[in-house]
Amino acid sequence: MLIMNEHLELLDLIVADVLKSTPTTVKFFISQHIDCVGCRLSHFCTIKDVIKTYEFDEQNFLETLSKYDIQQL
Amino acid sequence: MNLSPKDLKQVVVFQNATETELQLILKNSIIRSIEENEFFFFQGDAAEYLYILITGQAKLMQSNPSGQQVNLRTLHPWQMFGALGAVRAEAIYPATAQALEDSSALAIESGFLHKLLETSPKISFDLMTLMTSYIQEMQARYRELATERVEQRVANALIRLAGQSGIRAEKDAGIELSFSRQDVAEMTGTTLYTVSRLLSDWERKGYIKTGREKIKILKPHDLVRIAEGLEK
Repeated sequence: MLIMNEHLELLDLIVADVLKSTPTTVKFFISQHIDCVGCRLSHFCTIKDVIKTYEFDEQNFLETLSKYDIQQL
Repeated sequence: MNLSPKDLKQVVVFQNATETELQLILKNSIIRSIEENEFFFFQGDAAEYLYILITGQAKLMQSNPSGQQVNLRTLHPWQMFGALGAVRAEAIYPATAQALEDSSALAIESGFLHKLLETSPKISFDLMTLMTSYIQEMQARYRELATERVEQRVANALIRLAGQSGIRAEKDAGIELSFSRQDVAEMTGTTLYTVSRLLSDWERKGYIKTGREKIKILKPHDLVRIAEGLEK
């Protein structure tokens, strides 16, 4: 069965943009023990990089992140 | 090359300047173009002009009496440098400015800007903002030198360079930096040998990839962990 992921567009977003445009996500990042908040390189990394680096489950991660109603910059 | 007041608005120090002030600045300045590796000014010269880089890339460096050099910062278009003379009478340049590629800069008479600062609080405040941000950056680097292991210092230098001038390469290909091992050694007050040893180690671990005059950060996360002295 083909599982469709509705939130693939979030993958290419830059972490710094997400944190800036939707500051409520800061809490989520911290709760997941992701070090991006305050990191000097966060404008080089995408959500995809975060999922890969921290070995999160892509589907679950995107599902949760999408609940924050990310504003595109 | 013809510059307009609107171009000058890109300079942090002039972002709140009035149209008349910008016109005056342009009237009292000249454009200097120099080739790669040539110099805008030398450490110890009288600071008669301050500069705004317009095209290209340059570096500010300082050397001690025995000739050992440290890189202070890399300059990009619309950044101001050599502004000491506008604030202090009879100042000398504390550092040398060398072009990293063919570059051009607007040279403004220090004495002229000094007079302008006396009448324009907004330009003065913006200059203070720029100066305090430089002081903070230097404080951070001093703290690194005094307290951090060389491994952390080198990682921090790469991250700082990435923040100032890194380019995000195509998808998944990392952050590209156009700096050599020698540049990194000069920035961190260490030897070329130490930098080479560390970079080779990180390259083996897949954190970075090095090339001629190029360093690519492949795993920013791991480099930040090293810079912050944290275990992986």
